[in-house]
Amino acid sequence: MDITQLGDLLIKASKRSVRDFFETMCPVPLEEGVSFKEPSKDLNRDNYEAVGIISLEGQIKGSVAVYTKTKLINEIGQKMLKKASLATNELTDIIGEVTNIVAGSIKTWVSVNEGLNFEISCPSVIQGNPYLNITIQPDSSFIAQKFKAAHEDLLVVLSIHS
Amino acid sequence: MKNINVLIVDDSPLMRQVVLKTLNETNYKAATVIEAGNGIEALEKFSANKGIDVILSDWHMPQMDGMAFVKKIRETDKNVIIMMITTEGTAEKMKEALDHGVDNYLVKPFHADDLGRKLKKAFIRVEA
Repeated sequence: MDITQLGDLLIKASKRSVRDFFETMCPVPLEEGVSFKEPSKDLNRDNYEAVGIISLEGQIKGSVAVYTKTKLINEIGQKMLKKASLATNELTDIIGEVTNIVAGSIKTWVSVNEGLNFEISCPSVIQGNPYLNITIQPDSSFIAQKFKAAHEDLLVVLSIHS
Repeated sequence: MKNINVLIVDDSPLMRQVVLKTLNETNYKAATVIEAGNGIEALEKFSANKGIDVILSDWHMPQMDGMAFVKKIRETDKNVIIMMITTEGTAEKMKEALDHGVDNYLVKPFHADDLGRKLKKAFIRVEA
């Protein structure tokens, strides 16, 4: 599979994975936004407040990153737990688990539809605005998909290398 | 109705709370609910708390993952009901889990109703 086909496939997988999560576990309005096949300043990664990252290893190597803002993480936690407010450590956990579910769904979708298999790591979470513009390896292929969930920005970025 | 003892194993406190919330919404009242954040902690709690009837375990966890935990449990206990709740959704991974003694399997993301149905099925088996 060439890199263009892989990019299309991963965009499709990202859309499906995010949609599945919100439809099943966190029913909020979801809109798909712009897709990117290379890094762009229009991604505005500086605008986000937290990112969950998972490494991929196997027939596909690289990472899945889910960028969000605190307001959306709160909304997700409140929907899933029916709690009025959440502690800071709960917010970190929520972005990690959302990243885990999105990455896991992408893995399943790619394996079932294309027969490409890979393992996923446990999630790491970075919070704080100046630290979120993670460097992409120069030889990586890159896809990103924007969403609006509960009217807040959500961004999924996949960086794939051989 | 038999008292049912449940061990929930997930490194995400969020997911443990989601599972616990669904558990509380079934008609069964679990006598004891114990939580663990990885396989090592879960093994310790399983050994220290005799009479656990149902284990609900994630797969991907730090230190000891869910599959290693299941294999350890099945070395000594063939009866406890084990349900895996995981993002691993391929047929190969499901087969691997079932081959190693997992009784039931639920892929994340899931509807709470699906988890509730599977929990009831497990509890009916405990009562039988």
